[in-house]
Amino acid sequence: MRDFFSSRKFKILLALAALMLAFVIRAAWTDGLGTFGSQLLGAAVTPFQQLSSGIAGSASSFLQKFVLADQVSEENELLREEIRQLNEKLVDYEATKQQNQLYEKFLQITDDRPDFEFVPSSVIGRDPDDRFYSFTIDKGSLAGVSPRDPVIDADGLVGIVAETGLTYSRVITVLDAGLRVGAYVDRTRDVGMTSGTVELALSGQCKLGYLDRESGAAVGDTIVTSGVGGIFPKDLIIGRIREIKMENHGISLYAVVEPMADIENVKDVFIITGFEGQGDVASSGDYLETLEGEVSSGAESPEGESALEDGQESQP
Amino acid sequence: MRNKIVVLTVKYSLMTLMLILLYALQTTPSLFALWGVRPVLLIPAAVAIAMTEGEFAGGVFGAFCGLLCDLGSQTLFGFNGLILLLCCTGVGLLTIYLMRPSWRSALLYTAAVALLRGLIDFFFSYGMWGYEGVSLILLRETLPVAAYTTAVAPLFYLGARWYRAKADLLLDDGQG
Repeated sequence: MRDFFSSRKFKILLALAALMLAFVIRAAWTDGLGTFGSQLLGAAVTPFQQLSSGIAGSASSFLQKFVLADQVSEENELLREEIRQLNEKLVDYEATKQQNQLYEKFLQITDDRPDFEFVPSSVIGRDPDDRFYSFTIDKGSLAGVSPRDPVIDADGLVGIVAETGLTYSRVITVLDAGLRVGAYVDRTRDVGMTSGTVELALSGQCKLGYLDRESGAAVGDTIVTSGVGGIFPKDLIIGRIREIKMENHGISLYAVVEPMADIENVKDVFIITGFEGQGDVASSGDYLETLEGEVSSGAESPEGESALEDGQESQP
Repeated sequence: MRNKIVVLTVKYSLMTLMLILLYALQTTPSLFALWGVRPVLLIPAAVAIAMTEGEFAGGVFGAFCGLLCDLGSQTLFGFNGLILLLCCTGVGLLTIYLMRPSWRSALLYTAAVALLRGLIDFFFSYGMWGYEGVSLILLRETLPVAAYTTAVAPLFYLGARWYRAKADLLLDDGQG
């Protein structure tokens, strides 16, 4: 050992240590600036670093696909589960939101018409082949729904219950050619009868027929139910007049009416199971508001016309 | 004599090249990372050279390895060079005079050098400045790096011993 400390190698190493110390002092003195030695060494090794980094980067990205496969798969499962839970929450949220909106409308209508007895309901099915947009709702006789109960939404009249099951009901709409509703023009008090036609139903409209030739009804006027016949309560909004035309026979006018309710897309409705004057049939002729089958050709029937005359006589 | 110089020149040149490659691997992002900890590969390499080549070559290559470490770190240039020069010279002398070279002693020397270097670095970089929570750096950075560095030491020792044996064989052939 003593030989080493007196050897030339030791002196060289000592000199080397002094050089290192000089590097340190120099580096500290220059405060961040690279020394000549470090710049030289750095220039020599940088290409190797670049090469190594490039190779390692490529290899790493290639291998990571296999190395992390389990992790990615596990992560994927977790994310799927999370999405499923979020979807469930979303469905709950949407249902609650819709219910809330429904109750808001319900409250509003109840305030307006305290004599109404309502059953709120949701549309659960639509017949894809039906041109008049009839639909099925989720309330039936168990909920107190009966055939011929009027069906409305917050905007206005939608239709009438045509058939009831225990837990469901089928509704035909005001666009249906088989449904006729006694109505009058809100502004002029001109009486008529709404019914659907195949042609108008395609554009989501219906017809207010039997208007007097001298009627002052105009485009934009509101049509409401007359309440004559006891099926529909009085003053339910049906729609607005879009056009006034003369009937082919030239005796009377008819108006093209656009229902206020979005018949084609309605999702939540109210079934009016009871109201003041329900079932009060003033005369046989008033029984115009009825179901398909009972007065299947009501528009052309003499009964219909006589009934209309009765309705006109009994101005709302 | 001339063959010996050629063999020694080739031997040390290749050794230098390998250290540079090792440095490149050491500084390659994410390479050899385990739980975020990466080894300082040049330390076991320098220790292995010191164990197989003796105190002088060990000291010189230790300084070289230290300078390479300085290049890739935030320490003052020469800091690691000085530490590894002294440590590797010490390792070379201890191998000659105290402990027989083996993979176990390689582990021991590397652990000592890595720990010493790590602690000095920790002291000058963090400890002496009184930062809050510096013990976390010691526990989560300095000590795991020293441990990982030590763990790979036997590989470097065995590699250096094989390289030395091959070079000796060439030298013997040249002299013969």
